[in-house]
Amino acid sequence: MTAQSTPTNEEIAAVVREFIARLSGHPDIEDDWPLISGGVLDSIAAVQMVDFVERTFHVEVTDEDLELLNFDSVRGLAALVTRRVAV
Amino acid sequence: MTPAPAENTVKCVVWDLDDTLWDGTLLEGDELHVPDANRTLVRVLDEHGILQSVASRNEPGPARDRLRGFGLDKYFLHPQLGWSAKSASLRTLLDVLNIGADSVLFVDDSEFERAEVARELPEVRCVTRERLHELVAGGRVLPRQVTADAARRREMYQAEGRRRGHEERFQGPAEEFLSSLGMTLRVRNATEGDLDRAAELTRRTHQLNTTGITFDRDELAELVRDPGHRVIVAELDDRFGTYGTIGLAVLSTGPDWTIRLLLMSCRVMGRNVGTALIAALARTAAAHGARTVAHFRPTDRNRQMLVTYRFAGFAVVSRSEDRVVLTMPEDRIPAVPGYVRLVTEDTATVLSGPTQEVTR
Repeated sequence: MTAQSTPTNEEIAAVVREFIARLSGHPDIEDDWPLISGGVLDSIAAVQMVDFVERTFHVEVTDEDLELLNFDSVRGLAALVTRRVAV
Repeated sequence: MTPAPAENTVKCVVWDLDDTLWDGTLLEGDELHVPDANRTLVRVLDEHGILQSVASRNEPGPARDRLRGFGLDKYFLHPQLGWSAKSASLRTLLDVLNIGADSVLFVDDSEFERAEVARELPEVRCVTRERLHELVAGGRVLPRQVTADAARRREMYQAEGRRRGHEERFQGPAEEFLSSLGMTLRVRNATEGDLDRAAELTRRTHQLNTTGITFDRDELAELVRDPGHRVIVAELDDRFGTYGTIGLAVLSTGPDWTIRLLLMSCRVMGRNVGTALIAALARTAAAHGARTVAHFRPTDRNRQMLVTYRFAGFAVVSRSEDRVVLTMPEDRIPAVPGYVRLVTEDTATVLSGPTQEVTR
């Protein structure tokens, strides 16, 4: 990740997908799989996801961002990060 | 002269076999006999949450067979049978049981063996079986209070060992692993017998703890009696056995039901049962016509509980320096995840969902 250019949603999704694949043991994560409501990840993993996106993309995840919708799928998480990096 | 144990800090008793647990020497073909006093003591120690093991120089196979024959094998964790020095056996036990040398009593009839252990592990207290019986009779070994969880300590330890084996062998995604455990979460109002464990949980639980408020036994007893409060405990079992009492919630029950404290033991870290517990609380509140409110006080370790609240559907309504107040919208009471069966005491009429629910 270079600091100069803002990553695209597709680039963010790729990074998130790879991280979640590692975290969950699912090699082929689909972007709209329900990760938390589907039991693929637990709330510990959710906290790890928060840490991961904050470190990797240099964004802050606020308490308000802790909506299930933002963390329940690769798509949701990539969308959240995309909104944050654009600011 | 062996120093007597200080306050009752014994967590584990390690027995020699020949002429200690039983009379006679296995290798010499003696007729072996376990004195009734020993048999009783093994059971009493077990019921008081004191772990036990064996360190014996013997052929492992025959020694194990005899323990089984006497019906005592289940009481001894990781029996150390073989030809190594007793101090080496004790070191192994300290390691696998994760306990300190100063919490171990080693019982052996042989002065030589006691001296060898005392030399290598000076903190381990080495006694004869006669001395062990004296110490117990003198009130120097057993804890004064035994929580229900402590009384099940050995069983819980064995269950955890089987569970870990299953987890290590398990191939497949996380949700299938959770389903494979066959978990049952029992949520009920606390009674007198739960209070010591509940107070202990408020002192010991930091990570999975929403507000960090601590209560002692008397304060909890008062809250149990107070019609304006509820103290609720949760126990978790799975097909390997019980995890014991692993959850506690303290609610004030006015027009809103406010969860002042919600905590879960780190024993259930990764079991993802927080949502089920929150669902049970919110459904109970709804059954009483109340809205569910929750407090959260951030520390540097408990963000996971805010995540749990938020993902369970709680919305933030106010925030001050040291407290977040959340409410559960009435139409967003979470479903109980499919991998855990929820059993509640007084809310069966409002419980519905994919899981089987039972009244007691």
